[in-house]
Amino acid sequence: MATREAGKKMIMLKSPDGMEFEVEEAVAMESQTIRKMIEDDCADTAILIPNINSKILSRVIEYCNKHVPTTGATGAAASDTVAPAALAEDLKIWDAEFIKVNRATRFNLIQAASYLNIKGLLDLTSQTTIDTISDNSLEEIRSFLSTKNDYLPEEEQTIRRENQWAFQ
Amino acid sequence: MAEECCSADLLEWIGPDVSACVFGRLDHPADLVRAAAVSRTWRRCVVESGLSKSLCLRLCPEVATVAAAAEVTRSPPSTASPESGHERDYRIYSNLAGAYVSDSGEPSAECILHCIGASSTDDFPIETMENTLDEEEIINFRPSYWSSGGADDPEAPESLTYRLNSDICIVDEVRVRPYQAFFQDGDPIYSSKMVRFRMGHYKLPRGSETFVMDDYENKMVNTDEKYMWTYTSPEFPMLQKNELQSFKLPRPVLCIGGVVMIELLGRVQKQEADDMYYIWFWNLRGLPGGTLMP
Repeated sequence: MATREAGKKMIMLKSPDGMEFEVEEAVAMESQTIRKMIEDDCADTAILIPNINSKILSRVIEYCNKHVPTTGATGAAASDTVAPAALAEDLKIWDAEFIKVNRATRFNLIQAASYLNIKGLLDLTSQTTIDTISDNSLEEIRSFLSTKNDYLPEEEQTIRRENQWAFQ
Repeated sequence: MAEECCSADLLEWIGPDVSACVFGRLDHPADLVRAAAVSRTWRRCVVESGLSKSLCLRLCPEVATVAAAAEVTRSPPSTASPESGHERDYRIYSNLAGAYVSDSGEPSAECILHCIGASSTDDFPIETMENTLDEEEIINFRPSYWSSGGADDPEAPESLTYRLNSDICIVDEVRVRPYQAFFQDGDPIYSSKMVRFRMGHYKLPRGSETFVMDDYENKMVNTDEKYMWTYTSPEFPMLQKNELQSFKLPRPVLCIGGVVMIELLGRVQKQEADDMYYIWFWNLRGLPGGTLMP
């Protein structure tokens, strides 16, 4: 396991396309999946993260860096004086900016968050999809999420009729 | 399979398991039904993940106690093709949850069908609990109210049990009016100290929970072991006031089995004539958020 200044434990994460990311152990442990690997001592030198390419992995690490509970590292002096509410507000703004990505990236982030078991990131990345389903008509949901309607027109009529309450 | 990254469907892209994880964040039953209507693949994901059931249980936990009954009471499917357990669960629970959250506009004013029994009645049948279903204070030139038996102990509890007009009702409020005895000195109001509501079903075969016209049997009807309670409300304080008092449940409750018991905990008013505590009621109504026909 690599070690760097201030005695902070570092972990190497490898993406399948060969990129390596050195991150603080605390940051990597935002992922419950990686946390378990570390706790079970399966993380000697480097952890290979399958199915998550370097572009997505770097975004995930960016998210974890921002969301790791602040214990010094960046802006330690400031975080002592900033009220928790203001900090939460700051995170919310940061999150909103972070999630301004195209749909493919968002879907990949959902998948990564699910595999790595990062609840906050999964909540954040799922929300757009949730909102799309909650706030739109069937036709709009299909068009926003590129879902092909493979129901026959009469089948869809039946579904609408039987569940009229859900389509008002 | 979509080749171009941005034209892929959510489900193709992230797979059914992760999709179920996303759909699991939908918190309104209508959203789940709509998601299932988007495409066949989406429907399979929603149905097979059992999300409708988990959402329904999240909304009204009392459903968990009678999940099996919900399936049994359904009329048997007439079609030859047997439907899967997932399909059936999806239909039952999405409809149940949908009815639970739907705002039926004007709730039917009265959901109490008839009386089942009172833990005691002072002068049966003149002061029978059936009087609590009458709106009028005077009927046939006589005051109309129910009176409990007298007790020396102000803590002695009483209970009244009613049958609702559907096996599955949503109850969100119960209104009770204590009786003020204008014909006694000082116009005493015989309210109870606290009130609590239980909902559930009768353990004996259906239809046997009719009102018993015999005083002793009437008491026996109210014993706890005859019922399976699926919901018990918090205790509400009752005012010693001659008005229809509203007790709003913390959330709309699904009354499965159509039986409501009004538990009266503690007494506040003594009757001068015999120095004993009584509870008298004029009027009682259950206001449902809606009724469901199974």
